[in-house]
Amino acid sequence: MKTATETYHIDWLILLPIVGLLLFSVAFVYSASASFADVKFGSSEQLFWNHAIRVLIGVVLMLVFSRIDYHIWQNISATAILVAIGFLLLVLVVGPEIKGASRWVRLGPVNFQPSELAKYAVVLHTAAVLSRADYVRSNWRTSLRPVLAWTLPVIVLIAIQPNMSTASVIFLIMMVLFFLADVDMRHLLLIVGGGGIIGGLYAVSADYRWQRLMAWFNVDGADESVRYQSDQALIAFGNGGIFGVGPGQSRQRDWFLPESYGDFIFSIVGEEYGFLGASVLLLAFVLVMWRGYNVVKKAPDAFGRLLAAGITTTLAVYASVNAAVTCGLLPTTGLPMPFISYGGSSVFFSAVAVGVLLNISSKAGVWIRPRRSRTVQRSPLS
Amino acid sequence: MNAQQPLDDSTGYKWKAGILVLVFGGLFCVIGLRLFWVQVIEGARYREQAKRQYESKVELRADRGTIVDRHGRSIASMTTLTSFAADPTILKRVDEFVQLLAVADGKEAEWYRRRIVEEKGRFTWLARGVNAVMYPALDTLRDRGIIRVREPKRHYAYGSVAAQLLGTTDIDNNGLTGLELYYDDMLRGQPGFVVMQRDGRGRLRPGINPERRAPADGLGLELTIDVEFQRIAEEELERGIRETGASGGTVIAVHPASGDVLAMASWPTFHPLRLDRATNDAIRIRGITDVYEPGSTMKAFAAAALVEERQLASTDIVDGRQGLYVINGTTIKDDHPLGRVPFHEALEQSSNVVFASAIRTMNPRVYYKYLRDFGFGLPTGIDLPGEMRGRLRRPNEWEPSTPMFMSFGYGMSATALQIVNAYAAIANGGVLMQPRLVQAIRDPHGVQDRTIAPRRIRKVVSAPTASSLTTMLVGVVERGTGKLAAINGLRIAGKTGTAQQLDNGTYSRTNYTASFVGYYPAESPSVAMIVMLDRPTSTIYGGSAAAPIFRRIVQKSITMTTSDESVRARVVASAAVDTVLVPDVRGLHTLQADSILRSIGLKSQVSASGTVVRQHPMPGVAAPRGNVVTIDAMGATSARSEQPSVLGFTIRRAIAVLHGAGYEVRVQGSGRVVRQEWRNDTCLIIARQGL
Repeated sequence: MKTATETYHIDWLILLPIVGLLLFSVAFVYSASASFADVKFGSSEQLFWNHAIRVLIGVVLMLVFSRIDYHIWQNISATAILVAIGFLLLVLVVGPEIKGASRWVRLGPVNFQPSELAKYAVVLHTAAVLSRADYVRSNWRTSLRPVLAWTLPVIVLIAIQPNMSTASVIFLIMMVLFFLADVDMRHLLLIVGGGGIIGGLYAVSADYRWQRLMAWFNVDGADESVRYQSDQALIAFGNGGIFGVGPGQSRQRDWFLPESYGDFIFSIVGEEYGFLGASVLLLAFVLVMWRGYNVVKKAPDAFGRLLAAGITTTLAVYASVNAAVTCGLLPTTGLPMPFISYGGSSVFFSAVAVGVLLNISSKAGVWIRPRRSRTVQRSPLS
Repeated sequence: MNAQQPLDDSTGYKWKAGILVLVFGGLFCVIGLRLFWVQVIEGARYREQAKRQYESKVELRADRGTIVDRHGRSIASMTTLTSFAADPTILKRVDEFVQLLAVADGKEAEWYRRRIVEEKGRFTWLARGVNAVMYPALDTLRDRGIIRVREPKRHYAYGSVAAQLLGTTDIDNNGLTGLELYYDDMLRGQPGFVVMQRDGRGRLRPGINPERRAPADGLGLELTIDVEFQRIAEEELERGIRETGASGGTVIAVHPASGDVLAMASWPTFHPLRLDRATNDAIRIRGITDVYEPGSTMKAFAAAALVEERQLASTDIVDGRQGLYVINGTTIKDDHPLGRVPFHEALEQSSNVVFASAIRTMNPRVYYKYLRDFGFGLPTGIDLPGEMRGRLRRPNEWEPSTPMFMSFGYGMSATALQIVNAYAAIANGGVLMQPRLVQAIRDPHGVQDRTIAPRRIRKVVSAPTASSLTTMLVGVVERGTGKLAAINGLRIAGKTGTAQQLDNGTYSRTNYTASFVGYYPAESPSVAMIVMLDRPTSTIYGGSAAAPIFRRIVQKSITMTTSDESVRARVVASAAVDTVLVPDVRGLHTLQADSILRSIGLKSQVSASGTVVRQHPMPGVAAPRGNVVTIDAMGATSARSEQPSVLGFTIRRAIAVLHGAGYEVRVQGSGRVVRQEWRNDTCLIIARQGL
């Protein structure tokens, strides 16, 4: 049992893979974006520098947040939800349409994606409510109503951007938290069933989603351009073989694979670093996922457990869904690969979330400080 | 369990977190397996697909071989034309570019500017097939937005001269007709390739160590044709056809000792760069594709058979039967009735009666053998596609009257080449040679690679017989039907032929084939030549329609065909004056202009080297051989000279000439210049299409 006098380190097995992923992502993004950036901006390094700076900021954010006691987030969960809803409304009104959907809002110099904030706001709020003192698992009024009252609007607002994939993933993560928090099974089934039906109807209500589904199921007559992207991603993987074609040698990025530096960057990794490289990347996520759920088991209180579970689940879902999409196991969605894909909002919020997870890990005693250094009291981060 | 108790013990979480680890772990495992499948098991298939996508085999064109004449003058060679396009998004020097294009391509500068400004994308065609070498400023203008596409194109230094012989090629470098087709395998060369890398937008770039095979340029042909002789033959054939109202005709000249074809002209003709306007009639080589019943020119071969078989000698007396011979219900008539005359006179006067009655006494198989040996009924084997063999029936198919009619050229058919080649055999002491058009193959650099030896086919008649025939045939020109071919100071052996053409199985009273075939100088023949006219109207006789054409060609070409100075001098003296048409050398480099002028026997006087802008005399003027043509290059003189006439020029050429002479130019319309007006230093040229 831990005592107040014992101090713990953050979990290095979470920090190191994440920092590794972030650093390598700079190389990945550079390679994947060079020819696009060259044509679009006249400089092949344009996206590379954007991303490198964001990664640097991300690492700093992560380290800063790992030093902030996670308990203070419990009290601002409602505020976070409100802010998220505010941005989501803003993006619906003024957001520029990119590829038929309004998902970004300009915030000073950066294009900010409110759905990235929203998903962590939902995780935070769900964890906060479900760990409150007056929480009674079998009581709809004390358990699910306070959660759903705030989170459902968020999900709906994201869904009508339209950004169905993010909306359903957030819903899924929320369900995982309900499951962990011993929510009444009848309530859970009701919500899952209702959400499933609504989501299913929604999925077929827009042409591009229908096309993506049809393309994935290999139906004749499906939009060729939808099929094209996933086919090109497979060619990238296949071209990489076991050992890859070598860093910077990707050919698919040369205008064959659209968005090669974004949602489909994993296939460029597979092409340049081969099956071995792609496997190492997946193992890094597995490691983070395993250590994350280890924190869940050992966190000192319910809020810590649920928050850690929410963050870990979010990372695991995003990474696995993105990887599954790029290698053709799931229909094309717009989910980025955390830490790897180009995109500011994703990097920042993921880094902050991992920072919080690290802070929880330091309270969970998953990495007990060696005895001899107990007297030194040196901060592991300085 | 207390319902109000917050959930703070972590036992429930432990197995649930474990389940989540297993669920996500399983998911990642599935992904890993999928990657293994795609990248390792199926990898080869995807790599193949990727390679198809990235690599593009770009053909490196081989230059088609050059065709030169017997003296090495280039007739058909390769030049590079440049097509211009622009990428409007990065084009910077627009003003300069459109001005230069206007000069080189002939449209107004504004037209190009509009094409550039109005193009929304990144590519717009501006000018196709510009001979950019002539416009160095345009050719070397540096701008990332200028896209130049260079394509090779056949260049014909002598325009339409020998067009049918040379033949045509399609845009893919395939020979279609003539020598281009017959020697296609040699001329085309072997295209190379380079494997280029392609990106998703179809742009190509070379790889680091691209797989590459250099193209092997085509071999060159050295023809037996003398391009100047060919030109004269074509000119005189056309003139003769105009004068006689014939619908077509051919001239073939052969060197008897080697079978070298020195000229082979067909009319109507076409311009190789205007192939789209050429009719089938103009493209075919009539000398080998059209068969005729030859008429009286065949008498020489009956005579040769009779003399060789010692049945008749040239001085033997024969009976002309006063121009009427009836035998077994067949009637044979002469236009000019003869009595008892020496055999050579019967040939001179072209008596059908004498030849019919004489050949009756000969064994048909023997007569057939001679005709066959002279090459009738068989292809000559000339190196051209599409040769016809004519018709010579076998003796067992003959009726009793057949040899009689054949003796004066009916009941059989032959090409003009077969006839002239058989006469060449007589000129060659009785030895038949295979006619040929290529005397040597050159390597791609123009160095002679191997020569082709002349091919002797067979000895047909003995040398004394041939010599006797020559004497008789000289008589035809000196005293008989071929008098209009005679030239003072040159002994020509020849024979006229006038044949009714078969029209739906009956002999036409309006359609004739008029021909004259002969060789000269009779003492040691250097040329055997046939002139054949199809359906002449103003005069139908070989002696009056074809023989004068023969004579004029001999007079104009004698300097090329004989090395005997005294013969040359006499023939040149006999002709009016040996003139050549002054070619248009404006717009060419002075070196090029000089070599062209010298090649046709003119001299050039060059004031400065560069692009020729002025010449004197003007193109198209007939100038005596050896005359001097003055050519001025751009920038040779600062002062403007006389105002040059550019009527009939294409706009781009007119602008080049006027600019070169130091004038400003304004252009109205497009096409060819029909009018020009001067205002001080500016020339307004008005052009119209379709002239």
